[in-house]
Amino acid sequence: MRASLPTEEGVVDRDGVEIAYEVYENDGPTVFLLPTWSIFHSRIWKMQVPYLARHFRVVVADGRGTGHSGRPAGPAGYTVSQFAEDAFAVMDATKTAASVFVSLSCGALWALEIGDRAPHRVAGSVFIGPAVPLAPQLDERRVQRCDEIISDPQEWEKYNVAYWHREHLGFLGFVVAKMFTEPHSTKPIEDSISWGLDTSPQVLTDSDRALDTVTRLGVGRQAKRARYPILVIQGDHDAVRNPAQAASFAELSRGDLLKLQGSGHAPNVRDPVQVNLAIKEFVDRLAARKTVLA
Amino acid sequence: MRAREPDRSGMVEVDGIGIAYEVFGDGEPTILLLPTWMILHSRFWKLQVPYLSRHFRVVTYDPPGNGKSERPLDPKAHGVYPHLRYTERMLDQVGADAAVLVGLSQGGEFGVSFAAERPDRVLGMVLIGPAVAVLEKGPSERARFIIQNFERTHPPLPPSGVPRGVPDEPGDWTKYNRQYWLGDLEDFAWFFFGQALPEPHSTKQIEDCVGWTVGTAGELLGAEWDAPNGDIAQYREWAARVSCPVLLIHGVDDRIVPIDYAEELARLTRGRLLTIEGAGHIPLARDPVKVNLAIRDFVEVVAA
Amino acid sequence: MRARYPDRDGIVEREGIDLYYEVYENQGLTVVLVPTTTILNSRQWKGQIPYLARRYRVVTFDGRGNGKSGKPDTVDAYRTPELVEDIVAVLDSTGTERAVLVALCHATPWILDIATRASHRVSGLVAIGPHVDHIAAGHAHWARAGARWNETLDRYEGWEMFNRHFWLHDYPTWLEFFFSELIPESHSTKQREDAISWGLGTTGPIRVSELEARAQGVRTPEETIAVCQSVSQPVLVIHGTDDRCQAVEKGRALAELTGGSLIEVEGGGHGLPGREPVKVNLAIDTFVRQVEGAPMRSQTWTRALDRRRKVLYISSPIGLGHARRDLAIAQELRALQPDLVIEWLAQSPVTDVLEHAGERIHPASEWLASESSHIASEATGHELHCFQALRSMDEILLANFMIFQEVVEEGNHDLIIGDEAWDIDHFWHENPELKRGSHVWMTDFVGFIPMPEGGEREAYLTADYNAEMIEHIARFPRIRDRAIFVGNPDDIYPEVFGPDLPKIRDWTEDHFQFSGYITGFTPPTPDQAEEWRAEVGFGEDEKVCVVTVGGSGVGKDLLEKVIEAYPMAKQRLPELRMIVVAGPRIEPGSLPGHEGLEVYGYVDRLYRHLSVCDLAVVQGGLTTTMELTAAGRPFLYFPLRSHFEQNFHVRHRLDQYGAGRYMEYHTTDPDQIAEAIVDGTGKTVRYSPVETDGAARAAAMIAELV
Repeated sequence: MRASLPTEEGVVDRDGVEIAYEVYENDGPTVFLLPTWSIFHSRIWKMQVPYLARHFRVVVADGRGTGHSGRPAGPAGYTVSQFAEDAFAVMDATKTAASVFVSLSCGALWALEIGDRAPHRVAGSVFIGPAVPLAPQLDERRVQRCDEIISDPQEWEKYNVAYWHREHLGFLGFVVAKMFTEPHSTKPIEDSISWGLDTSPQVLTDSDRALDTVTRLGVGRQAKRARYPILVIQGDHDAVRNPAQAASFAELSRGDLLKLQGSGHAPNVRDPVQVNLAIKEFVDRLAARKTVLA
Repeated sequence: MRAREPDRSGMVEVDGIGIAYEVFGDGEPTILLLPTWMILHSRFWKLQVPYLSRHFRVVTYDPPGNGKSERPLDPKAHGVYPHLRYTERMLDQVGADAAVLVGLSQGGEFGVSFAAERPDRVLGMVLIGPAVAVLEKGPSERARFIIQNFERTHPPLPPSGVPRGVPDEPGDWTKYNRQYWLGDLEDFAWFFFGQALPEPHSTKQIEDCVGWTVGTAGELLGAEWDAPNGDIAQYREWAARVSCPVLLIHGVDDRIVPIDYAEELARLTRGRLLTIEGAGHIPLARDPVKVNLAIRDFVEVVAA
Repeated sequence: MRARYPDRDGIVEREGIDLYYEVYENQGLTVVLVPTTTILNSRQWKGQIPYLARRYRVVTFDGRGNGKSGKPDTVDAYRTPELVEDIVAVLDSTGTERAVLVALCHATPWILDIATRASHRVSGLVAIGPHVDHIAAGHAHWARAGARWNETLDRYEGWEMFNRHFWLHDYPTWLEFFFSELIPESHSTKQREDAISWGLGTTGPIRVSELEARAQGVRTPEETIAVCQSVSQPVLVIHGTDDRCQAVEKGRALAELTGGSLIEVEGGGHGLPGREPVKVNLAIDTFVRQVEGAPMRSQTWTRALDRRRKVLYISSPIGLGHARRDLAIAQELRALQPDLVIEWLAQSPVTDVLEHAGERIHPASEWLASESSHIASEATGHELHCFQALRSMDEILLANFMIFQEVVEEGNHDLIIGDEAWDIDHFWHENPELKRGSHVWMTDFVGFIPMPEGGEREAYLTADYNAEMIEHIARFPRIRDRAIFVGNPDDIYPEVFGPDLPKIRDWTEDHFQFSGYITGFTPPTPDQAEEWRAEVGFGEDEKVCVVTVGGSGVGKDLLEKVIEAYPMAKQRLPELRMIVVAGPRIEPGSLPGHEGLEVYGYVDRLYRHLSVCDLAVVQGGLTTTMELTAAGRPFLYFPLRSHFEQNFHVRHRLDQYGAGRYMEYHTTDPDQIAEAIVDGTGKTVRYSPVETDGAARAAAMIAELV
């Protein structure tokens, strides 16, 4: 049973790929909870939806390759551009002129692309543990060789296509444990693994390869160009992404930075109260500004 | 001893009248704490100044007729019209292009008129228990009584029970009277502030206000009564022209200005109304924490 | 005369044509006010310049064909690309790398052009009454008149004056008609006059050339829409609903296509910058501030289980007595909870003691208004009206409470300990929704007692204060998680709170826990006493009388009176040695001297001297008198007149221990003091014992909360 149910569920067709979305109707600004890397579907936002939907209109979508959305074959189906176009398609289908975006990890890339292409559709953007290559990878991840065959991969060597196909569950167990470095995280870990099992090794492979073209320079430029209000939320115990990436992103984009001491990569799941309140305050502040203007 | 001494104080002359002002702090933006009816002087802001001046620049000044300002007996020095000049001159004096205005009771008249006439100099306005004549009916029954009563001669009236904790009767509004003010202004003040501060355990606040009343005199209050003032149409027109964000704070138990006035003012200025249950006419003295936090929240949004 | 003159002006020449510009220097972002076609010049922005220049750097210029700029008359000179390049040239020559561009009417397409082709130079666009072709239907009168632009008519009525031939021979009449339509608001005579005078800055032939150049360079509808949609900067559109030059639908469409915000001015015409300058100025200002963006703000939140236990300790600064007992409690707390972080919100002189002990003082302590200075300022001679002094401290208490509240909003403190922190206890009861953390209230007396000399009014006031406190606690029992009485039930003054109010003792026993007294030090054993006497330099045959008023500045009168008694006492008791300790707030040199009398300013660890003296002469403060009681020394004490705590609470408590000789300062002369000194010195006393575990007991009660 869910804490709250959508007022509208739908599917929008994007060149043969179906994108499933949910709308929680309400007055006030729209908050669009964007997909993340195609390892999880939209249930990753389950701790945000019921609260935010009491205050705002909320839209969520399953990223391509996950949930009720289609699973195109090949990296071309999972580019940043595809995700941005998916978001526009969902916005059009739900008659959402503009929205506050909330993204997790890789979702940052889609959010930045959306802002770049259609700044007028972005009222503001919240980035949680943004996966932006604006600072070096974590040291532990240097061992990663994604396309080699590694017989008995350890730690981040498991970030490996062959291993994903061989030991999908093993990889999920590993990466989810890295996401939740906080003690007593059994439930978030269980949840995330079960969501991870909903997708496939091939989707992980395609969606990872699609990001090969993301560059530090390109993302940096997008961050600098962003003219909408930004809030960055980053845990300092993030073991998936170097927290310095979020800090330098906040600086480039002149966004606000909320540091969560002791939090890992997905504080929206593990520290939902703080994250919910921060999102609420951010959206309220945007709304207040408009009132002053009007 | 004060909790916060001014960083700067001085006198400025407007229309030949010396007006004393004080400046506290150096934050942004500037908050101008307006005078109110000259029965009080700028110390009535004592619970706001130390807090607000840690965050913003705060300016206060004494109305002509009380505090350290001069005491003109000419009615033309009083009322809303000269106050338009006093307010503007004060902003010039402290070099503020624009400021957030905060007013109590009659300070509401000074604020509304100024915000309408000089919109570019007002970032926003907080009015507490505003005594702004925007309503015709109902609540003005007391106003009518006061007008009829003001010049009458009364037999000796019993002293106020407020110093002993005994509430006065509504009939004692007969003390709102020129002769009475000339004879025993302090007793009127006990009565009046007993009405203005009806919350239990308000002894200190009432005492303070009575103490500040000693700074003025019956003759001066009489001159103020005789001063030209705007009528209802004028205040409604001013209020409708206010374009800055407005916050109104009003006690539900205000026995000086009924809350209907604030409600109407909120409609006219498109302002927000914060009502305080159980509060009287001067919540800034009696519920200073709530009022201080509300002012700060408002100023921060306006200045954002 | 102008309201504001430019800080500099100049000419930039572009392909033989001079462009006159003005710069109003300021920090930060630049706002460029672009002139509208040849019909107007830079003075059209006169209502905006003084206001905006106070906030931003402002650049404006005269367009070619008007004002102080060159006035070519060929059609080619007025082609759109030339006009756009003029703006860029002004940006370049004024050193403006990036700006918010503001345009009226037909200047809008030019700034859209720059925003899309040189987007790095534009941070935002403001379009007022924008004239952009194709995006929405225009007024029919333009189409009608435009169709006959080249025709010679017999008569030219109204919009028919929009005609090549008419302009060439009677351009001023067109201006009069045109601006009466464009500024339709009543009482606009000045604005119309201004506009006509600027319009006369050019000529009919120039305007014809400009119009014909414009007609040649019109974009297709698709191109126009594409340009609008590709604007990535923030856009603000301001449009009057009665704009007879550009229909308001155009403004709406532009806002929609560019994703901008729209302000419609109900009943407003086309000349909004002149007719509604305040609204326009405020809107531009708000917009620019948004575009400018605030610098990054950073905030940190720590996961609950990653936090160390944190206590905020507020030690009452009135007198030094609380500092030592609070330190003793803090030490006991640390013994129970070794990882405890204790921050102190305190003020001088307490902070001196805390710093000396290596404690962590919260930086906000610096902002606190001085309570001890207030108390000192309320004293006159050997008199302190303590209740009134507390009342008149309302302003300082509130100021300090507001600081405290900010500290706890940010600080994530688990526990707040307030040792007679009246401000916190009172204002949290008045604003219960503001409470943070657990709260321990500590005091060594309960109840305000009226002084007889205060009469009926003071009896009423003290009862009223007591009643408020009782109601507070009855209504909000959750504000005090622990209330600790530093003492024992017998120490409570045996009176009622006031008429119709409970007995102080009954109520206190119901609402407090009792820690016993906390001295903050352990009195010496008889053996130790010998050692201490030697250490502080008291001779075996000497009878040492220590006179002190503690750390307060109040008490100089008492010292002087005792000093006056010294020669008489010395005469009667030759082995008498008198040591006067003036304390940190009284200058020793300001006291009278006598042969053999010793006067010191500050004495380190004075409690050791007091513990082994033969007689002490002190004020009626609780801390010092209880130290003497605990050490079992004879002493004379002189409560401050009108000080209800010293006269009632302390005296009653000392009576429980059978300790000290009560003296009244105002009715006692030096001779009587001398007699009391002789009488009391070296006297053996039998006081009830004072517990030594008070700090540990208090700490145990507190530790349960953290």
